[in-house]
Amino acid sequence: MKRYRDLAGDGGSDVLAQVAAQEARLRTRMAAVRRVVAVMSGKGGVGKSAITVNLAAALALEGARVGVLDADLNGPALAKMLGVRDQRLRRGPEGVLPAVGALGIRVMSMDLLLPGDETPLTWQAPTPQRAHIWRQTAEVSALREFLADTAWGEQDYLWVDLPPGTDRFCDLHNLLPSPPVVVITTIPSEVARLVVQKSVTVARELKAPVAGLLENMAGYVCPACGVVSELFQPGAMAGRLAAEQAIPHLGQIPFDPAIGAAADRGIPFVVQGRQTAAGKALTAAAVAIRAFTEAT
Amino acid sequence: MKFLCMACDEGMRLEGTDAPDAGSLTVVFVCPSCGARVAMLTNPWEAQLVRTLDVKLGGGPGSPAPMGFVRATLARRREDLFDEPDRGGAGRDPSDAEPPHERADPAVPAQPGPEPVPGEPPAGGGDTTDAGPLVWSPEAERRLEHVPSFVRPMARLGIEQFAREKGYREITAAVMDEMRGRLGG
Ligand SMILES: Nc1ncnc2c1ncn2[C@@H]1O[C@H](COP(=O)(O)OP(=O)(O)OP(=O)(O)O)[C@@H](O)[C@H]1O
Ligand SMILES: [Mg+2]
Repeated sequence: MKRYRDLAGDGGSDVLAQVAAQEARLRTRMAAVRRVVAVMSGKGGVGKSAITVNLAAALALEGARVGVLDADLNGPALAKMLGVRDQRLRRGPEGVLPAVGALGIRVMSMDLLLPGDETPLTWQAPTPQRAHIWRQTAEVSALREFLADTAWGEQDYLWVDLPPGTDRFCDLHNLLPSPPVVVITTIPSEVARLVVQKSVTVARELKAPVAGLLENMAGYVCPACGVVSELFQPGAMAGRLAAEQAIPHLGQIPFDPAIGAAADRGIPFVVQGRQTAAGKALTAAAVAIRAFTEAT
Repeated sequence: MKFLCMACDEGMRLEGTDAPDAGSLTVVFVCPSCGARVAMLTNPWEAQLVRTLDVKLGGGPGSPAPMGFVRATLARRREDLFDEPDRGGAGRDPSDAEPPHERADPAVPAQPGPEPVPGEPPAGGGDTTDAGPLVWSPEAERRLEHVPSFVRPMARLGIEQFAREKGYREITAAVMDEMRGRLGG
C-alpha cells in the first residue's frame, strides 16, 4: 500500500502554496518599505507607544516618510495617540488604505477595526469558552494582514509598536522577510533592567540588529520651574546597562506631563515640544536610530 | 491530509468542498481510477483550525480579498469596515461616503494630509476593480440566513468572491446554486 510520501501533492488543497502566496504578498508589500523598526520592552507601561509615536514623528519632521503599525492588538494605543480614531479604513486597489495622522504618518491599528471603546478584541470560535486556543494563531494572521494588506506605499520607516514582552516580536520577526531593527525601551528601575536583558537576548538570537536602549521617564521635569528631579533610581543606569549589553545608549527621556497630554490630544509631543529637554532627547534618539539603520 | 483509495492503491483527487454547515466543512475526494468517492466531514474544531491559519481546504482563489481574514474572523468589528459595498443599496453614490475626518487643529503645522500613493486613486474614489457594489437579492440573503452565524461572514465573502470572478453584479439564489455546482456539492 502506498504511503503519504508516495502520493504527489498535498491532497488537493495545496496548503503550502497558499502559505507561500501569503508570504509573497507580504514580501511584495515590504519591498517598498526601507526599514522596519520595532519598539520593544519586556515591561508594560514604560512608554513604548508614546516613544514609537514620537520617534516616528521626529523623523517625519526631518522629512522621512513614515508609517506606524500598532502590533499591540489587545491594547491598541497608536490611533488615539495620532488622533485618527474617527477615520474609517477604506479599500483601494492596492489594499486597505491606512488612516493618516499628523505629519502624514500612516497608521494601522486594531483600534480602527473595533466598533467601540468598550469592545475587546475577540475572535469567532466554535465555543467562546475555548477561544483562547485560537487566539495566538488568529493574532499572527491579523498581524500578517496588517503588514501585507495595508497600502503603506513607499515608506522610509515603518515603526512597529509592540505589546510588552518578547512574544509578539518573535511573531513579527517570523513574518518579515528580513529582521526588523530593534529599539529597546526601559525605565530606570532594577525590575525593568532585568527584562531589558531578556529583550536583548531574544533580539540577538533572532539576529535582529539592536539600534539601542532608550531610557524613558528618567527624571521628572517640574512644569513650574523646569528643574529635573529623579523619578526612579538615581544614576546613569541605562548607560551602564547598555554598555554591559554592548548595545548603543540612545539617551534618556525625562518624564514630562506634556508628553502624556499630547498623546491624549492625538498630536505627537515632538511637533510642539521639539525644543524642550524631552523633545531634544527624542529627536536625538530618532536621529541616532536613523544613523544606525543607514549604517547596517 | 491525503486520501488513498485502498482498492486501487491510488491517491484520491480533491473533487470539491461544500459550504460550511454548522461549523463543519465537507470535503469530497474521488479516486481517479475507480471513481469511488469519500467525503471528509470536519468537526467545528478542525474547521476552525484551518480557518485561523487563513488557508482554505480545496485551495483558494488566486488573490483573496485584502484583510479577508480579520474581516471574516473578528467576532466584533466596525460595521462599515473597509467600506463594504452597501447591501441594500443599488445606485448608492460612492461620493456619499464620508470623507476621512480632517483635523482642523491649528496646533498641527504642515500636515500634508492623506497624499495619494503613486498608482492609487484617491481614497473614496470609484474603486470598482474588486470592491464594486454587489447586490444581494432578498432570496439570496434569506438563504444566507441558514448558514450558521459564525461562519456567515466567511460564506458571504466566498460567494462574493465567486460572483466577482464571474463578473456578476447581483447575487441571486441561482448564483449560489452555480457556486455549489462548481464546488461539486
Ligand atoms: N516621558 C514621559 N513623560 C510623561 N508621560 C509619558 C512619558 N512616556 C510615556 N508617558 C505616558 O505614560 C503612559 C503610558 O505610556 P505608553 O502607553 O506609551 O506605555 P506602553 O509601554 O506603550 O504601555 P503598554 O505596555 O501598556 O503598551 C501614557 O499615558 C503616555 O502618554
Ligand atoms: Mg503600548
